[in-house]
Amino acid sequence: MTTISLAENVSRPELSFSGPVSFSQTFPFSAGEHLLMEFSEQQLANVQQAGVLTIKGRESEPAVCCIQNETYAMKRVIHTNQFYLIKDIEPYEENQYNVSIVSNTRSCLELSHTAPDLLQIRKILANSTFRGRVKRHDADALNEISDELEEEFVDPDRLFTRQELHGIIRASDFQIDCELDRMMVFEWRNKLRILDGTYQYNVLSNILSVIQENDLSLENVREIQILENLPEISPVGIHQTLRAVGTYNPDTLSFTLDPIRIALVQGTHLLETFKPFHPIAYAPFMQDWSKINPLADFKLIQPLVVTDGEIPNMRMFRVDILSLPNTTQKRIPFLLTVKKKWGESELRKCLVDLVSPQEKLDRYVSRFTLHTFTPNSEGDTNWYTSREG
Amino acid sequence: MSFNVRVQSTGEWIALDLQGKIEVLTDELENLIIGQLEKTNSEISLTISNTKLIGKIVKLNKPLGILERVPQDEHIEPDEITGLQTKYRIVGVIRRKILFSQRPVILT
Repeated sequence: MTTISLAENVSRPELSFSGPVSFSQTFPFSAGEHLLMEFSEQQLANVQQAGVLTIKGRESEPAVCCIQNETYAMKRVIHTNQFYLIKDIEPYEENQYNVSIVSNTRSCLELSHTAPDLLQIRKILANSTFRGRVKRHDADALNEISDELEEEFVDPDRLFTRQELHGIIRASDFQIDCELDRMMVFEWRNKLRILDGTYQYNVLSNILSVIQENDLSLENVREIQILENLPEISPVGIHQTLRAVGTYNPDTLSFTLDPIRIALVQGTHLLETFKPFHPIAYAPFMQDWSKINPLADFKLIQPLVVTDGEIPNMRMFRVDILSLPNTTQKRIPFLLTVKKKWGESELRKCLVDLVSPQEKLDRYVSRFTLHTFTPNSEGDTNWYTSREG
Repeated sequence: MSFNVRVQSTGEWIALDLQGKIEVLTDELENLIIGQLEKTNSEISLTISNTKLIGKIVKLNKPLGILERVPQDEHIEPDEITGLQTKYRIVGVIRRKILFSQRPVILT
C-alpha cells in the first residue's frame, strides 16, 4: 500500500479519501492552547532556519515578534469562522484516514514590519552613565589605582546586563546590539554603561591637549601614552573615549582618531550646553579639527537635532529623548511646543518609535496641525504647522 | 513577558474552516465520531448526523504557523544565552484549508 499522508492527499485533486472525524483526547479545547500566526514564505524560512522566534514586550506594551534580525508588530485578527485544526496523519488503509481534530480557534496573529523601539534604550540607560573617578584630595589614594577607585557610586540595581536589555527592548537582539554599538555603549563589570556626555567631552579635551603638547599624529595615538600623561583620569574613561572617536589598530597598538567623530563629540556637548544656538557660530570652533560642512553634519550628532527657521536666522537645538511622551496624542502637542512648524522627515524622526515608515502621518497629526505642501532644498514637501498659530 | 517560541515541526496540517460551530451534546467523548469527511475528484464533504456540508479546498495566500502552548508541567531549560523561557512551540504549518461556506444540505 502506498502511503500518502492526509495533507498530501488534500493537495492532490486527482486523489480521493474518506474517514471518520473525531475530536482528540484534549477536547474540550482550552482557549489559547493553539495560536495561528501568519507568515510570508520568507519569514517562515527564516523561522525554520533560526529554529526559534521571540515574542517581546512588557505588560503595558503591545508585544512584537522577532524573527532572526527583524522585528514585526503583531495584530490579532478575529474571524467570524471557526478553524478546526487537523494534524497530518498516515492512512490506516489506502485512502482511509482517522481524522482527528486537535484544536479550534477563531483568531490569527498577523505580522507587519515595524520600526524597532530603540529609543527605549536611551531612556533605560539614562542611569547607566559613567562619570569617572570621584575627585580625591588624598594624594595617597591616587597612587592606589584600582577598580574600586574607578568611579563614584552608582546604584547597581539600576544597571542592566545585555541579556536583560534584550528581554526588555521590543526589537530583535541583533537590532539592539547594533544600536548599542552605535551609541558606544560598553560593558563594565558585566553591566552596560555609557559615557556621560560632559565627562566624555572633558576627557576628550584632555586627550587632545596631550596630542597637541606632544606633537602627536591623530593617526597614531597610543593609549598607553595617554594613560601615562593623564594619570588622574580613569583608564576606562580614556579607553572608551578613544574608542568613541577612533579605530583601534592591533598591529600598531594605537588608535587612529577620526576628526569627524571628534567634531561630533564636541558638537553634542555644544548642543547640550548652549541651546539653542546659531550653527554658523559652531564653524570656527571646529575649524581646527574638521573640514566638514558644519550645517550638513549636525544631523549626524544625534537623532533628535531639530532646526527652526531659515538661514541666516536658523537656530538649532536638541530635543531631549528622555522628555518625549510615550503616546502620539501627547508627543505631537509636545513637539509643537518645541517649534511650531515641522517638515515631514524631521517629525518622523521624533515619532520613529510610534509611527512605522509605511504609515501616513496625517492620521496622527491632523487634529493638532495644518498640512501644507511646500518643497525645500532638502526634499521636504509636506509641512505641519500648529493649529494654534 | 518576553518568551521564546521554538520550532518543533513545520509539517503540514489541514484546517476545516466552518461558518458555524460544532457542538457536542454528550459527556462520552472518548472515540466519539462526529462525522465523516469524504473527498472525491470534484467534491469534498463533511457529513455530521443528517447534515452534509459541501466544501472546497483553498490554498492559503500565506501559510499559517500553528503555535502550541507548552504544558505547565513540562520543563524546558531556558535559553542558554538569553535566559528566556519557551512558552510555545511551532508544531505545524497550514497551507491549505477545507472551506465550508455553502448552506448545509439536509439528508433524508
